[in-house]
Amino acid sequence: MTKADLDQLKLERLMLNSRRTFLTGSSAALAAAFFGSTEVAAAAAGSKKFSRPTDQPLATLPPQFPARAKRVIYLHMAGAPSQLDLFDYKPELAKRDGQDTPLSFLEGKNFAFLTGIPKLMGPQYPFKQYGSSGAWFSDRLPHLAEHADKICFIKSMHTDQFNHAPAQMLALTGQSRFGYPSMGSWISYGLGTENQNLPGYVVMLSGASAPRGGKQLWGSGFLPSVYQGVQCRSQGEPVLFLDNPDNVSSAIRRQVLDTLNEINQSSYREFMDQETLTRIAQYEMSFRMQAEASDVFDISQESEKTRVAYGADPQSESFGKNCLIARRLVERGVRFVQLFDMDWDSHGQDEASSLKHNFKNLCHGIDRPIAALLSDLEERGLLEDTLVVWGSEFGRTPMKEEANGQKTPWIGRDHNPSAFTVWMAGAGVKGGYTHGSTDEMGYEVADDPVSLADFHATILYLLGYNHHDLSVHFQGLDQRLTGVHHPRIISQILA
Amino acid sequence: MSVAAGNGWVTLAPADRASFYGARVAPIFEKYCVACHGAKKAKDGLRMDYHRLLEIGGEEGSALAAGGDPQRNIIQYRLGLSQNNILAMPPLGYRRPTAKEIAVVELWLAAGAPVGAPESDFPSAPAAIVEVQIPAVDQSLVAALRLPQSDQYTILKKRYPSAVSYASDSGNSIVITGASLGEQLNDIVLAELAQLAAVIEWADLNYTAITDQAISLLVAMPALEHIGIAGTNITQQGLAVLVTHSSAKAIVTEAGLASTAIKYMAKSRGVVLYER
Amino acid sequence: MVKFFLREFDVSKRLRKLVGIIVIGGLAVFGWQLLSVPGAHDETPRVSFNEQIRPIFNSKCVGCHGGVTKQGGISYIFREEAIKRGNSGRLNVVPGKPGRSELVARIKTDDPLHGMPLGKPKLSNNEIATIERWISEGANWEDHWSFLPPVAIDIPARSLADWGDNPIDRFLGDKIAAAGLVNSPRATIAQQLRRLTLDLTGLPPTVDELKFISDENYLEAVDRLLASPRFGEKWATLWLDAARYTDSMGYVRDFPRDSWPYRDWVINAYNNNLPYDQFVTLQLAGDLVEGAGLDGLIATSFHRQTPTNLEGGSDNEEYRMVAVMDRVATTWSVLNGVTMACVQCHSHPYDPIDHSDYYQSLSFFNGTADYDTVTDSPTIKIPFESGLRNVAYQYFIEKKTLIKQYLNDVSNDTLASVWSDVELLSATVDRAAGWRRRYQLASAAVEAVALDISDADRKKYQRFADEALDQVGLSSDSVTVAGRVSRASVVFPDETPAVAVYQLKMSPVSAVTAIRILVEPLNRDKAAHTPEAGFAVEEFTLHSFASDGTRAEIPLAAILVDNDDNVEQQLTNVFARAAHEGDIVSGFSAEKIHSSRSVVLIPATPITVEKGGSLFVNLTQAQLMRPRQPAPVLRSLSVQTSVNSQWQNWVKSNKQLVVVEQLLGLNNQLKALDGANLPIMQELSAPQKLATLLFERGDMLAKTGQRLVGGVPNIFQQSGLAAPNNRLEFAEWFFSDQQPLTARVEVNRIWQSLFGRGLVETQEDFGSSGTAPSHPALLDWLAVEFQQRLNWDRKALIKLIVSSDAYRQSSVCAEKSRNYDAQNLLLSCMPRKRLSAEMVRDQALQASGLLNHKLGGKPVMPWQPEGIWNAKNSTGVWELSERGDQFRRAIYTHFKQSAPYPSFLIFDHVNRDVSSVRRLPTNTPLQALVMLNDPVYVEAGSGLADKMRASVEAGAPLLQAFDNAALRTFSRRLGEEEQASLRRLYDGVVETTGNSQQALQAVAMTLLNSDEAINR
Repeated sequence: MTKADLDQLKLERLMLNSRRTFLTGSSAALAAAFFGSTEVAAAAAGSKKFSRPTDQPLATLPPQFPARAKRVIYLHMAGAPSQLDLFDYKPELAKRDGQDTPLSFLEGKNFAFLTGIPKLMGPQYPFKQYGSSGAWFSDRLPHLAEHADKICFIKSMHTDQFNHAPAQMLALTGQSRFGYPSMGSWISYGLGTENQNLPGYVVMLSGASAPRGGKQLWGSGFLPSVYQGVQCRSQGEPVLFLDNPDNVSSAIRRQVLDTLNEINQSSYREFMDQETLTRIAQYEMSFRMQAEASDVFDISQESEKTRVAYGADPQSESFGKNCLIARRLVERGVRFVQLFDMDWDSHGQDEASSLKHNFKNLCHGIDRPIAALLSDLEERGLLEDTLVVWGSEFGRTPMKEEANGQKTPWIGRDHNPSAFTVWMAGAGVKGGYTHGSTDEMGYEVADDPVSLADFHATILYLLGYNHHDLSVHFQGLDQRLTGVHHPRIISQILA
Repeated sequence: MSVAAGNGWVTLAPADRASFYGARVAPIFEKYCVACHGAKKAKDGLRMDYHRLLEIGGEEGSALAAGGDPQRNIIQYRLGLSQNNILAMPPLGYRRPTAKEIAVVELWLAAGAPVGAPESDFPSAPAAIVEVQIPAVDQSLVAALRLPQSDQYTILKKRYPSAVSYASDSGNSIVITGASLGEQLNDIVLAELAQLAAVIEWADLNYTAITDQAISLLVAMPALEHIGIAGTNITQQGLAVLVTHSSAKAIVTEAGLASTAIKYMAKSRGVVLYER
Repeated sequence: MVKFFLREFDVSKRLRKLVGIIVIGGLAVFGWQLLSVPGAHDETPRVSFNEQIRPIFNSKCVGCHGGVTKQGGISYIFREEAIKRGNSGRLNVVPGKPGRSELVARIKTDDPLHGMPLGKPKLSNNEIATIERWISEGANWEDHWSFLPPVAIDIPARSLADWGDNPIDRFLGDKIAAAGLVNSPRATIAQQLRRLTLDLTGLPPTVDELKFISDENYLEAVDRLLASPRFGEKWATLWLDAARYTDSMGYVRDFPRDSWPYRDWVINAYNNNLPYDQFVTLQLAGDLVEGAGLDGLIATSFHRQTPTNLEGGSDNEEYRMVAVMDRVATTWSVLNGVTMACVQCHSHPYDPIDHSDYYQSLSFFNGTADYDTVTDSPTIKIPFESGLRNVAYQYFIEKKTLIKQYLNDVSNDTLASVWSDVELLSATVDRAAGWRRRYQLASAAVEAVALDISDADRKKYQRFADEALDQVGLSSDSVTVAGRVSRASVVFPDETPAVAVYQLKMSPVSAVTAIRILVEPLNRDKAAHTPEAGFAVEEFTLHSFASDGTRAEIPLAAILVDNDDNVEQQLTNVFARAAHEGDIVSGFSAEKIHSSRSVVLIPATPITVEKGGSLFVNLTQAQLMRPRQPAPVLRSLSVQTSVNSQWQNWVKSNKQLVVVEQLLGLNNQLKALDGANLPIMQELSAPQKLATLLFERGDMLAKTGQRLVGGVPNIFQQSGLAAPNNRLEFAEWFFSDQQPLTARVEVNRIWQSLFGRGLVETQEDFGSSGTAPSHPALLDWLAVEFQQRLNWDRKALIKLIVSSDAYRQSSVCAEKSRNYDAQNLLLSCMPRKRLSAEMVRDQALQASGLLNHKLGGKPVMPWQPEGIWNAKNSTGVWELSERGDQFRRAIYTHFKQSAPYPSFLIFDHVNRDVSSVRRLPTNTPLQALVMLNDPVYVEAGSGLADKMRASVEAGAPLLQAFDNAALRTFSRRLGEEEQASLRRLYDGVVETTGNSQQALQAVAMTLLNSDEAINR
């Protein structure tokens, strides 16, 4: 029996004894096998196999290698804002405004609503260059444009879904099908959260409706439900069931918890079940969470100047208020904050969805808050290790949408999965830079295409993780946020 | 070095890294092709690790013939096939070169695959992309690195699980944070944590109960890069000592606590002051 | 034989040609001895492929050499592909001779470019030695254990003194003794009853039941609980997870869906102990089972729980296919634990299931009538009042026979008719005429007072009319497009406008009694599996021109549409309008076409057009019937005529209108019954069925190969099972006696809900990448017992398990067990388990006396935080239930897919967007907040407080009241210390608030929140 065999046996007995408390990740060799190339295989072979103890599901775990970002604020504009009227300036398209779309654009393409031969439509707003890098902005986001030198654009994103629900699921869970964990769940599964008295993954919505993908966009899929996004509301009770019933003061609650502690200790002495001890700890944490969560959502503690900068009014719900709360959450150590703003689906079939009408209010609704968020994070020394991401599920077409041939005053564009724009700012990302570009019509990606898998792998890299090793074995496959794709990390945007 | 190839012995010169072929084209072949078309294994007799051997080619004849014509040049033809075509190169399951890398190879082949031509002859070639290499981490090395502090760390980790943790799995630097403990993290607790002073790189002590007594502990941390003391009982004097003596390059402090003198001292020592 | 020897020697390719000839002679004799295998030394046991070799292949080789990619032509899934000659030209495995096997050479070499696994650390010496020994012993290949049918095994002798003769105890005891452990003592009778009652009914025992229970009457309690109606409510919950049951359609719109009759069917099936084989067969193919009646139809709603995507602009065929694929994956995962979902895109990475096997299973489900539409049709009306259910079912059957009868008449009466091709002169498409006709038809519909159309429809038609008016004004240039005519058929070009009048000009005819128009798909073969866009003809008109130019209108007497599947829809709504307005509105349309469709136009009197004249048939596409995207366009037609006099007699016989009247009558009667429209499965008739082909890499737009016929993976076929060829036979096949997995998977599902973890931990994956069974012999014995002696009787199986000593032992594990078997795999003590989300709520309601035991019926809406259902474009309003409905059992709570009940999600309820067969328990602060602050639990707390106050007012001492409350929550009396701490709490609260009710409430909340209350 050689030494290697002794190790093998010891390992097997250790596995048998400890398997219950560990949700073991993939065996490194098998995970790398799918990848085929030696470079990552070597890395995977050397790195520790990923596993997480189930009794403290959200305890902080160090990333694989030194991370540039410790926290993420993800701003998702549900419905697909028109990148051609915000960031992706196309002078050539402006010249050919109103002409028939060339047939080559239409072959083999699936459209949600476009029929027959639509007309090309140039940008609806004037563009200007901002910052030392000369980044293009339309006049709809003046305050954000002041921060041009912090922002890194990726104008060559592409996806393969042209309906909202599956496209949002693909953008936020890596799969267009049901049942997969969201990005926030993977990250809190991998890294846990710094502040144990607050949820590790907080979701807030603004605007009248909910995103089309529904709860799956922040669901935990096949990971335990502790990793799902906790949907908080900036009005009323921030976390569901947070506030005590009316007649129960926190003093009485404290007495109840102390007594409960004693009773649970006696049942632990009898049954010796580890879960009982964990439950005792969770009840203590719920008491602390009541205090800390109501405090972090109470924006009246902020100065008048800050509230005005964000456009956040304590009495009403708004995207601005959510941005201010997002900064307060990351400041206290929450790992992943995701804000959804509705409803950017400007098809132009009515006033609410017209680029010339409601689009202005939507832009106004996010312009000042995001600008205030960026400067606030920078002042407080948070921007250097917090990653801010602005994105959506796909882009809009350079053609004007006239659903089944009606002539209406409303202006709209149809869905365009083959090219859209996202931007990032903060931790480890090169400011004042534009990556990739679309053709002069803004319809297809011209160079440096970035798939959603590349985008996800880059975010995980910034958080200190090789996307290939953050996996869990389920239904016979090492499941990952990047699925079975072979993504590339976008090295050009790393600072 | 000379090697038997084709019908005779051939001398092989290593690629000249200054030339376009050496700097841009050869690295692409090395990354995607040489594993199966190199010295040890030459599928279909084709070797792509030397220019001369490319010229000789394998069973399909010279790999550089009819450069620029995607239908007749064997490299361009095989690169252009769709992934699930049996003849496609690299084969299914292996990493595929990006559109830009293929453009570099095609440009070179179209120009007659010169071996010596400098990069300046190819102005339109797309810029080389720096590929992100995630280095393999040898866990035994990391364990050795962590040895001096490891027992101390295990004890403190058990006592304050949410307050102390390694910065990453590949190093020994440590992060301490009061995010969970809040008011419970006072000078005594910090003193305990300070036993790991040598390797503490990041200390987020905002909204904790530390006082000026803690300043001496913080200053004695040689590796410290970032300190957060906003919302604590540290006075202006404490801040001044910190700014002048601590190794930290970024200090987060209470809005208004830093006097102009402190700000001047910070600027002169290259320390960034943030306010909350 | 020669080639075999040449390959043996490792020589470079060029030299081999030279040496070949010389070697043959010398080796022939010598080589023969080599082949006889030297006997391996016998005392060490032979290498077991499944236990030792397959795990190495699965973890180290299958990534590149498996179902996904077959590098070098080698795969370690099938035996032939593992031992054959790879691209390297050498035999990968030579049975009996490890030295000659390329596999051994590759795993032993240190050369990084040749060594296997490529670019990764070498196998351990132990693994290499095991592989070499395996090859030298003949490289025998075993199929994975779960693909071999279970064999009846003899039960081991009793090895634990205080355990009885129950076979389960003997199997478990054998392993416990072998590991040197000892079983735990029996639990107290109160703990046994609590565990039994919670496991069988989902509720804790009442105080009275606790009083009368004893070791003697334990088995009677088992029978009592198995017979209780609560049994079905508890066990149905797990099956509804597997069936992904929801009360809404999913995706963005998430319209409410009337699925609750199916939920009640599952509850009753468990209560009536419907054998498992009938239980599953009815759910997969109840509509095809002779005499299954209403129950059979309701059961088929199992596979109609798939989500329906009604987002604007989504392609129906794409989301119908998503639902069909979900049905294939769910069937295999729930019934056999096979992860068939992987095989959509490529062959299974680990198990011997080929890519085409997936699509052979898919063809069983590809022929049903449900489509991705708003109406969720086909549905069946289930009245709320159970008495009327059979009445509604009779109407349903009557309608079916009526239509079948009508179609038989049509084919018999007109079968003899001979069709002859017509000679088409020209075919033009007039856009302006189309818009004009659309305006006239739309405004006619608006004014048609007689029509009972809703205001919304009236407004819609008004909008169509206004739009049509602008179009008519604009297009002064009447764009006409000409079709390419060849004899009797015509093909229209791509740019044919959507709204138009098609005019077909024909040469003279004589005494024509009927005209048949056939609409063909453009590409007939492709359309059979990938349907093309459909068409929608609102109106047919005929007229003729005599040689002298006079024009004559030709009135139509009747229109006969071919498609017998939606003939009801065409007969009822369209003809209903015709009956009112008098003119014939054709209703000849198709969402998508995958085979030719035909319509027969029957003139009032036979048509004759003299020489020199011409006959015109006009088809109007006004886009009123199907105003959606993409606009339907007619592309390829052909025209035939008949002179058979039958047609006129058929019209005179007025059969069509008679049938319409009867159908309308039945529809009105059905509409009068207030109830649910339950979606069900309905098989299409043969011509309507889509062909199924293999999807390359799982993409429905990339179909390859020829048409596939139904079948099962051939890993199963070896065991002599007749391959099924329709959905019913496919369901029955799962229960044939050679089927290796169905019994094991169901036994494991029952074991998992009783012991917390199955004998196979990964209930969703019995394949080679799942976990191996902890007690393979016991699993197989139970499977054989369940399938043969018990004949799929589930209550009997549950009774056998719960009456075993292993089940009745205490959950306090001995020190030795905890150290050696931390996971309690050997069950030397009873695993403690937190209650499921539903049971946590129900036990709190029962403890506080609020639980309402009403069975079945519409889903209820207990309190939930507002704003959970606020999605603008999602539908449905959460109306709070009253009159006790808010205290119904959790299984009756309305489950909306995009916004499930929040407190269930926090207690690890699954999302039910996909089928799932187990729930992963967690332990979080949010659960604490639910139990402390959710109004449902606060109300339960005050209910329990009232009970305590009542017993105090009846003279019982305070501690006695606490004791009774404890009995109600965790089925035991309080210890001294516990009474003392509760007393301190009570006094403390009275002191701070001066209010004894609040103090009782605090004590009640403490009891309800204790760890023991939500554990068993």
